[in-house]
Amino acid sequence: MQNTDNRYARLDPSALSADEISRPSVSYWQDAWRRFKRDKLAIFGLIVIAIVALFAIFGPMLCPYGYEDADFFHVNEAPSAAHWFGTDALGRDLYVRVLYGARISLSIGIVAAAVNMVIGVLYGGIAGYFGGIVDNVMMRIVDILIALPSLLYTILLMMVLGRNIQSILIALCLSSWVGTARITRSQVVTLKHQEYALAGKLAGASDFEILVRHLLPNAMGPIIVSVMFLIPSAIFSEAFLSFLGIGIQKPMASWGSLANDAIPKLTSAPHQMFFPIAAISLTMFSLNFIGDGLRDALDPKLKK
Amino acid sequence: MGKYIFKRVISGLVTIVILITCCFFLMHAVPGSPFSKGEQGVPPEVMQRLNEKYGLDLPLHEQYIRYMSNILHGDLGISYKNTTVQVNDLVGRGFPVSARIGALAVVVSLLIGVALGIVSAVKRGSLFDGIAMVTATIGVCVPLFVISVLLLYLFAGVLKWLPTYGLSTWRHYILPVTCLSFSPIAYIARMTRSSMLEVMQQDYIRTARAKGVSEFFVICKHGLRNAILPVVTYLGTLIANLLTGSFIVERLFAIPGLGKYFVDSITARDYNIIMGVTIFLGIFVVTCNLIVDVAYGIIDPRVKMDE
Repeated sequence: MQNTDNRYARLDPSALSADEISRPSVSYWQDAWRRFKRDKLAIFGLIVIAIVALFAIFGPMLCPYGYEDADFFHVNEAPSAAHWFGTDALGRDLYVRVLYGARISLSIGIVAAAVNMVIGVLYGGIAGYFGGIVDNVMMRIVDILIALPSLLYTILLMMVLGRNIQSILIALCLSSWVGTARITRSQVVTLKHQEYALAGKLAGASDFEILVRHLLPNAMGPIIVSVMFLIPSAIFSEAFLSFLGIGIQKPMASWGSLANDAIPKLTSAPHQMFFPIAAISLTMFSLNFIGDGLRDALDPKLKK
Repeated sequence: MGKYIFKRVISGLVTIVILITCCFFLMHAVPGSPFSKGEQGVPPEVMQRLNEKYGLDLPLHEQYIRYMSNILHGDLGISYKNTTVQVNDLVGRGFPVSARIGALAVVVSLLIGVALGIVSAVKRGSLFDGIAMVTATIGVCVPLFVISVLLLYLFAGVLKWLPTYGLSTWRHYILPVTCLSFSPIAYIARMTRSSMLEVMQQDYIRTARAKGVSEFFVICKHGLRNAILPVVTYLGTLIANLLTGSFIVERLFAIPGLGKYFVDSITARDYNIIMGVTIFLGIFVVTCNLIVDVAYGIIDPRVKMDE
């Protein structure tokens, strides 16, 4: 007797593998990187920043002029083969000064963001983890700090510390960690009741270990995004202060102070203004694009 | 509601007291007496008399109490560089000018920003939307001083359409107000656009359309009223941004406002003026934030008052 019921037909062997996981599993960070790579603007920003950084590091070495070499026979010159970006009122080469400005701006951005990340993450982490009265007191302090524009504190601190690159850094580091602290706190508050934190506690881990080894790594995505936006805001604050003439002091140059020096000759020698503001605009654009890309990659829920 | 407002007022007052305290001790941490700087050759007897006159020979805590009580009486002190200048006069002269420009900038940013955001959201994906959002990205990223310098160069330097400094006619207001409102417009437009897009997908919008309400009313009455809420929360930040922005714009356009006096006194290291103006600005910002918070509570009933 022939079996005509095709319900019992042999299965195609390829169907058996349908349940198998055919691709390697992707971690959070690999997934984020995959999303980030797809963002063309963010990649563009990354490339621009890499180029600016390379020029800032190696450019001055390859340039025949120093940033304070005055040449009184060639003042206020337009861009030429000898001086790519022209010269300023004292005959100093603008190209090399813009490159030194890049060094100052980028290092201020990176150092301020790093220090702010450490302060903000620890502060917010402690407030969020311990909760109760600790949290209440610490967050009221943050509320007070956030109620006023941070540039006001920065200016006040600069007055006391003196006008140089170190005091700009200290002032920026002391005044702009509050945003990171708030984000870290809200992350830690939601994460601390997760099972793995409880498991860690049962295994005998100290509060500090649970916070640093278990909670903070899981809160890293939003923290990195907020720190990434601190870099352009630190660069902006430095440029703001230097543009007002209360930041970097002569003969040092930053993009803000170069723009400040160029104001009186805005109509007669506009190139002196053009190069520093082009450099800062390009950098700000790129950093913001990277930040947007990171936010979309690390925090897909936020994407609009 | 009353409890909420009371809490906000108390926290605002604490903020101001801490600001004054920090200012006072920071400025006293600066080495030397205010009169020893820049005035070489002042005989010791004169120094003595000056210190006595301004109470600088008193112990620190007595000076602090004195300064606090002066502020409570509305006296922000005098300039130590030029003792005929009172900080109150400076604020009285500079603040109305700054406030006029600032208020114009707030109005302009709100009107243009919200309008751009609505049109972009309604015509999502169109050429207008594309151009508006690219411009908004520029406005958000590029620092204020870059925009100000470019506008100054273009409209006052090359085209010579607008005056470069002073504030005598209405034409003088155009450039400073444009510079100040450029990046707020960008922020508000982006914010309005994204919240408008969200609101327009809600059920009540569909209901309104199904009832046959005209598209204009759907957008303006049902859509905008809900989409505008995030913009209201941004107002506090906006005022703080305009305040620091005024330092740059007033300096660049030589406008005799509070921002210019403040920057001048920083350059001249006139600590008492810096302190007085900072405290004034602090009180101003805290008050504005308080008003915005309370207004938000009234506009949006969903806000929990006890938080």
